[in-house]
Amino acid sequence: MQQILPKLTEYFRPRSVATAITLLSKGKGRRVPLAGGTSLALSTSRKITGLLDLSDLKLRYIKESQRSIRIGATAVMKDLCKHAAVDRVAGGVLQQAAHAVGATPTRNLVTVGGNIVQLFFWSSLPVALLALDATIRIQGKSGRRSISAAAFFRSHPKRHLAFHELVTEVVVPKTSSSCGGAFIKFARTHTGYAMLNVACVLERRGRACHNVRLVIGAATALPFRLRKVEDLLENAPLTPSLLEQAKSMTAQIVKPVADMRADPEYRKEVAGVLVKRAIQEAWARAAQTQAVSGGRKRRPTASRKRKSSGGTA
Amino acid sequence: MKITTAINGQKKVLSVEPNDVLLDVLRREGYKGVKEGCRKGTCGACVILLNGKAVNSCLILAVRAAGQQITTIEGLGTPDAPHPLQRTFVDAGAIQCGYCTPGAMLSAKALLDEIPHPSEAQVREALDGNLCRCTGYVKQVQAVLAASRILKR
Ligand SMILES: Cc1cc2nc3c(=O)[nH]c(=O)nc-3n(C[C@H](O)[C@H](O)[C@H](O)COP(=O)(O)OP(=O)(O)OC[C@H]3O[C@@H](n4cnc5c(N)ncnc54)[C@H](O)[C@@H]3O)c2cc1C
Repeated sequence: MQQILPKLTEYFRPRSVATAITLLSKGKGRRVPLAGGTSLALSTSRKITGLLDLSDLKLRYIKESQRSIRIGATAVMKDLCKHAAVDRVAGGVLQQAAHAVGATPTRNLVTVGGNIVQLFFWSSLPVALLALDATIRIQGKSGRRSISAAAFFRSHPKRHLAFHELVTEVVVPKTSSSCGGAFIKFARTHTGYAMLNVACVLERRGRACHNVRLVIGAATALPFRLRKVEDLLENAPLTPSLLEQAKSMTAQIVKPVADMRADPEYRKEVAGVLVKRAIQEAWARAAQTQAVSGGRKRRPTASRKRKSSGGTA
Repeated sequence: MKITTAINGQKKVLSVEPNDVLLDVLRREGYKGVKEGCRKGTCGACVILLNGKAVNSCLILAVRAAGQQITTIEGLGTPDAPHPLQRTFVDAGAIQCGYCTPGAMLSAKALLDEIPHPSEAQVREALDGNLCRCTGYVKQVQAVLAASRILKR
C-alpha cells in the first residue's frame, strides 16, 4: 500500500476566506485546499506539504436570489440533489448531474468546488455548468474575479487557477418555465465512472427550439459544446428527421479518446444516441414546466432523476 | 497531533499523523467493524456515520474528525438489545459473509434517521454505495423496509 500524501506535515482549518488565502499564499503552491477530500485522500503527491481544510469557511450554502442561484464551493452533491431551487433550473439538469456523481457516501463528501477544480475526464458537474452558462467566482491574494464556465473549462482549471486562489462560489442563472434540460451519464452501472456525459439545455417556443446548449463530456479530456449541432437546432421545428440529423452530426464531430471502458468508435456512436435522447428529454421537460404555469402542481422529481442516471443505449 | 472526537457517543482523544486516514485510525483504536475493502471509495465496506451522514472513512483524513461525531457499527445496539436493523438483517437473511454488513447497515441507519418511512426506491438509493458479493441486495432492501416498519410502531 502506497502512503498517501507522504510529505504532508501541516493541516489548517481557517475560519475565513481571507485567512485561507494568506495561508495558501505563504505555502507557495505546496499547500492546497482540502474540500471533500475524495481525490486528495487518494493522492500520493510528494509536492503537497500542507492542507487547508475549507470546512469552516461557511461556503456550504445554496442561496436563491431573483435571477440566480448561488452555490457555495463546499456545498456537497447531496445538497444539490435535494434542493428545490436547484431542481427547478432547466428541468433539473444540475440536480441530475450531481446525482450522477458516485454513490450516496461519496455524494455526501464531494463538493462543488472540488468537482470542478479537480476536473477528471468523466466529471459530471462541469458538463452541466457549461450547458447552464454558469459563472465561477474566484478569490485570491489580488482580489476577486468571476469567469464564465466556458473560460473556466477551456483548459484544465488546475492549470489556470493560481496557487493562492480559491473557488468560492458557482452562480447558476435561473431559467424560465419554457426552458428544459437533461443530463445523461452513460456508464456500466449507475455508480460507475462515465463513458460519456451529455447535457442539453434549450428553450421551447411553439414547435421550435431556441438557445440550445449541448455539452459532451468524457469523450475528450475537457468537456465541450457541440456548437454545430446547436446551430442546426436553432429555431427549427423539432422533427424526427432533425433529431436524426443531430445524432449523425454529433457522431461526425466527436473525436473521442479510448480508455479501458470504451473505444472511440463505440463512444462516437453512443454520443449521437445520447445527444438525441438528451434533446428529447430536455424538450419534454420544457413542456412539463410550461404546463406548470397553467396552474398544475409540479410533480415530484424522484422518479425522473432515477431514470436518467446510468442506463444503456 | 491530538484530536478530540466523539465515537459512538464517547469522547475520545486520538493521536494522529496529518496523513492518517480515518479508516486506519478507527481500526487501530479497535473499531474493527469498520472494514477495509477497496480503499478507493467504491465498495462501501468502510462506511461510517460522520455527524449522522454515511461517508467512506477511507476518503477522510483523520484530522478532519476533530470535534465531529462518529458512529461505527459498534455503536449500534448490543447483543442483548440489537438495533431493529440488526434484527431484520438477520431475519431477512441479508447477511452471509458479513463483510459489507456494517457499512450497509450504517447507510441504512442514516436513511432511517432522515426518512423514517422510506420508499423502496429511497432504500435502494441509500444502499447504492455498498457492494455486496454474497446475498445481493433484495434481502437487504427487505430488511431495511422491515426495520422501518418496526420503528414505526
Ligand atoms: C468512488 C468514486 C466515484 C466517483 N464518481 C464520480 C462521477 O461519476 N462523476 C464525478 O463527477 N465525480 C465522481 N467522483 C468524484 C471525483 O472523482 C472527485 O473525487 C471529486 O470531484 C473531488 O471533489 P472533492 O470535493 O472531494 O475535492 P478534494 O479532493 O478536496 O479536492 C480536489 C482538488 O481540488 C482542489 N480544490 C477543492 N476545492 C477547491 C476550491 N474551492 N478552490 C480551489 N481548489 C479547490 C483541491 O486542492 C484538490 O487539488 C467520484 C469519486 C469517488 C471516490
